[in-house]
Amino acid sequence: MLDEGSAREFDFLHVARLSDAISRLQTTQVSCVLLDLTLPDADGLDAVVQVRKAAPDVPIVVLNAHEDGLAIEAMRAGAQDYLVQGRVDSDLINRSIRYAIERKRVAQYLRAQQAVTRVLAESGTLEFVLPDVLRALGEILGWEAGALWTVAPDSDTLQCDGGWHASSVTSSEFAVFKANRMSSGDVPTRAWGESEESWVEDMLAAGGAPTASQADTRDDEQLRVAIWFPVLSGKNALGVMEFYSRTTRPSEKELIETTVAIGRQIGQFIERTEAEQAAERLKDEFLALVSHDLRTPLTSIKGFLEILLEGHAGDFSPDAHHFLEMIAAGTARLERLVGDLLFVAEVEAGRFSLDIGEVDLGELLEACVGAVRHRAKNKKIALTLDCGQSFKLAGDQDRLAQLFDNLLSNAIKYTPQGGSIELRASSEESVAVIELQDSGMGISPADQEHLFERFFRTSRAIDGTIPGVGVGLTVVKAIAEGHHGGISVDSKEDAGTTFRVELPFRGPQEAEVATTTVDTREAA
Amino acid sequence: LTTPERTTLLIAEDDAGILELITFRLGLAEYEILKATNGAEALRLATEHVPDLAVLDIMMPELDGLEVTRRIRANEITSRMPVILLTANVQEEDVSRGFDAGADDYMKKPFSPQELLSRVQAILGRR
Repeated sequence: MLDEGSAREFDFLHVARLSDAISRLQTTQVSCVLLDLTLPDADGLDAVVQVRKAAPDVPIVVLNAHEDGLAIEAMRAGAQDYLVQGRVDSDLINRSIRYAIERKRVAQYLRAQQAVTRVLAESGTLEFVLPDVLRALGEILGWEAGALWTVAPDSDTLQCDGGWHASSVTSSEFAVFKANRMSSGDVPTRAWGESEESWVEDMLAAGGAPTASQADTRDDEQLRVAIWFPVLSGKNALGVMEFYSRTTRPSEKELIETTVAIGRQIGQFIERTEAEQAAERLKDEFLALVSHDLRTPLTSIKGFLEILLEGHAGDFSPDAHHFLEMIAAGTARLERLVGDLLFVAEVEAGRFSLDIGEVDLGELLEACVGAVRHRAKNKKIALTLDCGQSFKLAGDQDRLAQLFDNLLSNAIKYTPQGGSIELRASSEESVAVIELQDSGMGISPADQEHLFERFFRTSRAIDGTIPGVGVGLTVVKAIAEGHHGGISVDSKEDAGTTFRVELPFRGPQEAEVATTTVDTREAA
Repeated sequence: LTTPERTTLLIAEDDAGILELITFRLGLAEYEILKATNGAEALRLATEHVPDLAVLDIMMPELDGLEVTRRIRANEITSRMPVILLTANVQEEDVSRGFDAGADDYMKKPFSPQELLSRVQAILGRR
């Protein structure tokens, strides 16, 4: 029946067993599989599953001997249509095959678009996602090789950002091909210049004369079909994406539309990531610049204050001396803030280094508590330190001091007059545990989630107009994690907050820190 | 010209406030002070007067403190002169670049003038 009819629309290949069909599918490209479920070695719907596995992109039309109610299940197993013998003629079969091919093709376009959307949704740079994008598009849409060309910085020429090729194309073959594309120049450049997509059914016929290196390759072995489309952001063409194939392939309107849409998607991704990176760089540069420019005047202020307070420039009245001390306290606060800002910029840039040595934790905590004692006293806060034994650990003395100084300063800031703050240190197996408990205003569960993020400030801190910029805890967390430790918080509103810092005794080793930088971006 | 028995220090710093601060504090300790406000001037004073120690700001116009240090080390007359660098950058790589250039010590801004004096005395005492 299949061979009937005056105008045979398709060529048919007959096989009588499922196993033959499977092996044939490995070697021969077919447009559609017409599958009889009663083949001697087939087991009902399993035949559909097996064919689908052997040829994921080939449409399947099931042709069953009798109506057995399996139609829906067959479709779910991957068939595009389901016909019952005896109720069909050749016209119906031809139409079904046509529709199956069409449906499968549209589904493929959708799949390609979804794959690209998925890859682009993962965070990362173009460099990072491009191989996955090219492979997804190439494999799903049936190309053998592909490449992305974008405008080189500070020039108006295209450069190749990356390529992909299927196993049917060798790496050296693709390298030669790409180099020729680059030197011939006109083709990707034209698509870019005109911001228009194009499908060339045969590049050789279209005038892309084979170059010397291609001349000894037979024509039918060359990559000759191509589609290229601009990578657009708005009306601005950022580059051109191309895909090639050896087998001739007539132009498909839907495929062109799909790839144009994908080109826009990639263009938006490129623009978005570039803008994000530029903003990040600007922020880092700004922070570093501000910190540097604040340090110079701070040096004068702090230095002359010290000279005045040491009496090198004469005596002061008790009032004047007190005022100088107030200025010195403010200056110290400013200095800490500048230090924190620069440190956060370094952490955000993914690099800060630790100067590892032996740290006596007891001594360190005592010094940190001593430095804030007068501030606690001014607010009538009871400040106690409970450090039963002496702990020695591997760490950066200055950074750990900065960590506890930030925690203590926060505790004093957020604890009302007459409250209490307790700092406790103990050991648990291989880690030192330092807990700081205050009777302060507490932190709401919603705020706790963002507490360690840069520039985050709790709603109560803002409502209560408590000064700060929201970098203190970001610094604390980065330092703790830089020491292979961590920090957690336990808090109830109006009942106080406890921060728990864990620091491993061994900590990072000196050699390790000297050769690697601590990357804490994930943690931020 | 410098009197032979007094220890001479070269201070190079382009910020007038900080230059005065250091000059005043180290001057209290009876040192003779040579002042420079840029790297080229610092290098000229270093080779002409051969002071006992140089305090150099890293970020200076004309020649930066690192380059001045390198040239002091490269010149036979000044190669043994102790150098303390002042840096407003706190990244460890700046510190190691300073030592690579041949500095003996460094201080991060903002520093305590008393602390700077202690470091100067420590280095000179060692010699």
